[in-house]
Amino acid sequence: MLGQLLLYLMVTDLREASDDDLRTFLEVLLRSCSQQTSVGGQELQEEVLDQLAIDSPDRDAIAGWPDDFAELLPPAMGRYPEALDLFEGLLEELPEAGTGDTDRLARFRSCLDLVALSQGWEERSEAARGLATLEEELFALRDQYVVRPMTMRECSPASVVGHRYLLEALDTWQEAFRLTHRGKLEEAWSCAGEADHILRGLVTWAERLETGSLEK
Amino acid sequence: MSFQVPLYPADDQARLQAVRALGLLDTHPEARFDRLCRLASELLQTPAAYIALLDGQRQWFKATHGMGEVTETPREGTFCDYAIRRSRPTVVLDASSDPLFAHSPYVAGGPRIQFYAGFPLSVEGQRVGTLCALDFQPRTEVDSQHLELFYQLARVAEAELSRSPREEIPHNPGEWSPVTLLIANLRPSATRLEGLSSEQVVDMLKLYLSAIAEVVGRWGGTIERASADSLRVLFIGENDHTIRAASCAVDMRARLEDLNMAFQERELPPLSCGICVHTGEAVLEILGDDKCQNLAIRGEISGLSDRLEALLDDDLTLVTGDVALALGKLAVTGKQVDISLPGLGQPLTLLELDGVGELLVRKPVATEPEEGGKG
Repeated sequence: MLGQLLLYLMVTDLREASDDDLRTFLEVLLRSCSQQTSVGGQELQEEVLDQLAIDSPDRDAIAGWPDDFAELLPPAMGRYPEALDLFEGLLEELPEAGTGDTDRLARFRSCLDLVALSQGWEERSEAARGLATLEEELFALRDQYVVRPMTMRECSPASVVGHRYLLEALDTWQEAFRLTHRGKLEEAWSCAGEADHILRGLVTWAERLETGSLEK
Repeated sequence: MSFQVPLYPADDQARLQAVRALGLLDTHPEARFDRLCRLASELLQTPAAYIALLDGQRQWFKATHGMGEVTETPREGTFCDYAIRRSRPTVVLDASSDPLFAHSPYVAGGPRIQFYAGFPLSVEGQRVGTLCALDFQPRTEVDSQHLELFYQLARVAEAELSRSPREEIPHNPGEWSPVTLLIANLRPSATRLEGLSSEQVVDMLKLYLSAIAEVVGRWGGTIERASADSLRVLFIGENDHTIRAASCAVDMRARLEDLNMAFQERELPPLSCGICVHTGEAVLEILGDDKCQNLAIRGEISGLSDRLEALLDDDLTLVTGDVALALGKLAVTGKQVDISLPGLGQPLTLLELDGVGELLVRKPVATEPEEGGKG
């Protein structure tokens, strides 16, 4: 049970959870910890008690528990570090992002060019409209994902890796938009390239999962 | 400059159809939208706020606050043309330092907007317009709780847009709906009016009712029952009936103060009025036929309202706990007043309403409310 709860943490975006919901989850986790006799279980229990004692639980700290207490995860997740290495290897194999690699990256580059190369407000308005549209498309993806989060049955080392990297990619895209609004266009481009690189990696990852070639 | 990949879809037809289907473009201002702008402006402490509908080439203002006589602007280069493409709120703290907006004619010139907060307004899945607040000074931050309340206002604006034109009072037999009732009782004035001629009393009451009817209309209420010394006002609607009723109570109190000053100049005594707002569920029914119709409110709320009305002897503006709860952070409440009502085991706790958001009650100067509770 405790392992399943930690696994749930791995595939849940805690930023979407209310304080009340999070506290309910922590109370369930606490009950499960109290049945544990391992050192890790006892240590986690103390961490849970600390979080329950504060008004607004620290989401980042809680999200880190599956990594901090990896030994408590279900046995199948013992292959999680291996899956992580595999995905990171896949990312290294992929060529670095170029302007024309994907439609979204090409559109982002065009918007940045409009901002960088023109002084007129019309072009910048064009860029603003393009960026807003692109941002909306990317966040619609997140919203769809939040509406239908991963179920326990779908959790496997590979799917959990995919989940975590998808959220990281979307966060990095968000950072790219934020940097654009601050006029840090080169940093924004770098972030967008990084985010898109992960998204391209995830497409390959999903294909390999579907064909079963990851298991080999 | 031209690009191989289009930056955004050129086809805006479905959205434009939704905008036009509202039937609101180029219509007159309406109090129900104006007050939302005023609340938005007060909430974020900005000098201006507006509700815009994004038409083909223009943004047209259904309601504005602090923007003078402007009714529309070209759409290109506006913040809303950006905000309408996003489902999330758009907050620009310092437009001059944002390369996407710094050169806009609305930032570099014209009104020189520096701060913008805008929420898209959706009707049936199409983003038709925006609720926005703007300032001519930049900001370094915006309170997230204020933004959350601003979001709630945007939801109210969406509800209003989607039921344009104004819905008639629903009267589905047997169907319970959330309603808020405001009762106002002039009984505390009775002793003051003694000694006046009947013409003077009638004249004062006419002025009072005319002023109150105007205030009730402004907040979208329906006078359900009126007599010489009392009236009951019904507020309905999906989201905002309690806010409107409480705001109406505050506004009524202010209007009464203005009236009393006018009476004072004519050497007439001031009117005193007890006001109470409470909320609950009721069945609304139209009784009678085409020749003679009467709105009937069935439910516990109606009986409670009758009993409260009989006990409103002080010049106070009161709300029940449920109303205070529904108002949330918008409620500015004062002392607690406990009233014993026949049939209720526990005394009913009411709260003195000092304001709704930035709309504050002007306390009567001629009378001092009693200390302590009643009952």
